[in-house]
Amino acid sequence: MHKFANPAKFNRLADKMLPWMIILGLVAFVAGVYYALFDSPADYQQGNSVRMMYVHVPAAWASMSVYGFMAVASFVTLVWRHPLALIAAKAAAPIGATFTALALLTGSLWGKPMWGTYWEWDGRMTSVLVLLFLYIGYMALWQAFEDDEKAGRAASILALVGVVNLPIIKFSVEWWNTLHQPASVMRIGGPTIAGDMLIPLFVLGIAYQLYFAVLLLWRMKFEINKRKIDVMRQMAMAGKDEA
Amino acid sequence: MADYTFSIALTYGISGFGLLVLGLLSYRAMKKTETEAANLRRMRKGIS
Repeated sequence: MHKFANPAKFNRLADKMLPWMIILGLVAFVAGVYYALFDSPADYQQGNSVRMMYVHVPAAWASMSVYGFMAVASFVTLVWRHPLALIAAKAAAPIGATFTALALLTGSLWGKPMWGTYWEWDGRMTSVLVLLFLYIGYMALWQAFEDDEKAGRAASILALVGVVNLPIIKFSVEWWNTLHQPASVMRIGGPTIAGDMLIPLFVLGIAYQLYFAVLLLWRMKFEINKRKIDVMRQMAMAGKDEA
Repeated sequence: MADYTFSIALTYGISGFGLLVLGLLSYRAMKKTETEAANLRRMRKGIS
């Protein structure tokens, strides 16, 4: 695992992967949106409003999977002190926060015509809001410390503690009597959604994951470059002091 | 059946805008630091 800790190796690998991931992501986005808006059927109860599901659900999936990724990277950071794992977790946080905010916003817009309200303090919505606060708290911790090592450790611990919220989000619709509908795709016994609706949902789900991967690599490269710049500036200052 | 065109357009619009802005900011930040790091490296080589 530590052989990928070399930033130069990481950058070379990222540069090779990025063009393919961008092309695949774009194809998935265009195909998914086309299917979602023009080629999938209207729901027998919700009518065309079901089309909002195709951007809401992939954002919600991504909000949780990115947090899971961040927690695994934080665990690797704390246990093995893998430098790229810390950079990956830090780079993932703003992306996950954006996915979570989008899931809340699009869910709220879908909720108004279906439930008659933009917001309800039910288990699912509240636990996703807590997820957004966890992302914000993680990013705030990085800003709160001057020493990057201390900040990284504190943020990693928060990311690990926050993992407890993921099963709460997933099972909130079963544990409590919520306004939000129960799981209809990832459930024991298989999906209850029609196949014609599953295709655009999965295609856009893949598109969101590919987009996350592209942004993650860009943001990791940004973090690595920032560290390089700091080191080069410190070396230049040290050189000046010696002269 | 009710027409949900506005709500659907708003949902897709907000999602597209949010993802696009995040993508542009991430790419711009990465490119900016890449150029700065390359300039500093060139300067160091020029000095030594």
